[in-house]
Amino acid sequence: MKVEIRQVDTPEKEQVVLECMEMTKEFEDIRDYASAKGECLSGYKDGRELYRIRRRDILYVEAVGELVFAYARNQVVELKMRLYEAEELLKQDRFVRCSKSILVNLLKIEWIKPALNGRFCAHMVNEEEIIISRQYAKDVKRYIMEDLV
Amino acid sequence: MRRQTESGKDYAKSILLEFILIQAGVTLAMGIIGTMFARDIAPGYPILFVPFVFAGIGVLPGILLNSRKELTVRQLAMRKVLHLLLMEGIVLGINYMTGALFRVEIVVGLVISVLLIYIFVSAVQLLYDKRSADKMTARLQEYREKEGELNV
Repeated sequence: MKVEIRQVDTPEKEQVVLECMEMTKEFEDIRDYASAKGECLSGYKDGRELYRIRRRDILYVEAVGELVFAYARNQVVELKMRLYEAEELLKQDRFVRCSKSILVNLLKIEWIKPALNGRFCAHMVNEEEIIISRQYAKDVKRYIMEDLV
Repeated sequence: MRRQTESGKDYAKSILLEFILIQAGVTLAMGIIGTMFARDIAPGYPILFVPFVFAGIGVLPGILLNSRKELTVRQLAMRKVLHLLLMEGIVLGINYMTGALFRVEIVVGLVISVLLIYIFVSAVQLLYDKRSADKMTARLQEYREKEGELNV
């Protein structure tokens, strides 16, 4: 199969174009892969099985020691990256650092309530509660009130 | 690079707010206790500085509530209790040294005053935080509805 690559000057112009006589299984796979690539993160489930998790399904990302995990409603995937790298990747998807070890998906927060000593508690769509620590509360508030457009 | 700790300015603001609240509470408590137990005594101008002194000392135990590690709700609640007991100890200690604890009722009055001031300060902070939390929740809800419209 011939592969042609053309460089563009803005991210908005990036795309994959498939030219085919017939939509075969091979092309469908390539189409599905290209479609999902920007929407998913790769990681490992149960330590060994390679898995792709959709960014919009992730509720929060947590660093536990040297390991980083992405939590969705019914699954946990270990991401092979550092937390700051995940933060950079997920910035556009409305993830924000809410404590030293957690990035939370703002779109998956149902409501927020105050906790003790200047902290807040984010109630997630799966009934879990994530603490927004005092150090990060101001940044989270500023992001929600000013940057979320 | 994201800040890893609360900025000095934010910390100073929270300390200042606590200082003002404690000072207001102490002034009120002194007025009430003085009226109840020492109505005939006419204190001089220096007594006006006492709330400032107590407030200045009162913010110091706040160090107990700071921690590099993220504390659980239970750990934080325990520290708050210790914080309160420390405040009670400081207030009673200062009053004992100045000879002001000459009646049991004054001791009881002081203990209750410190507790009420503590609750008052905590309540004001909690109300302020509740207002912030409600604003954030409303904003998130608004954004989700807007995104829902855009995605239709």
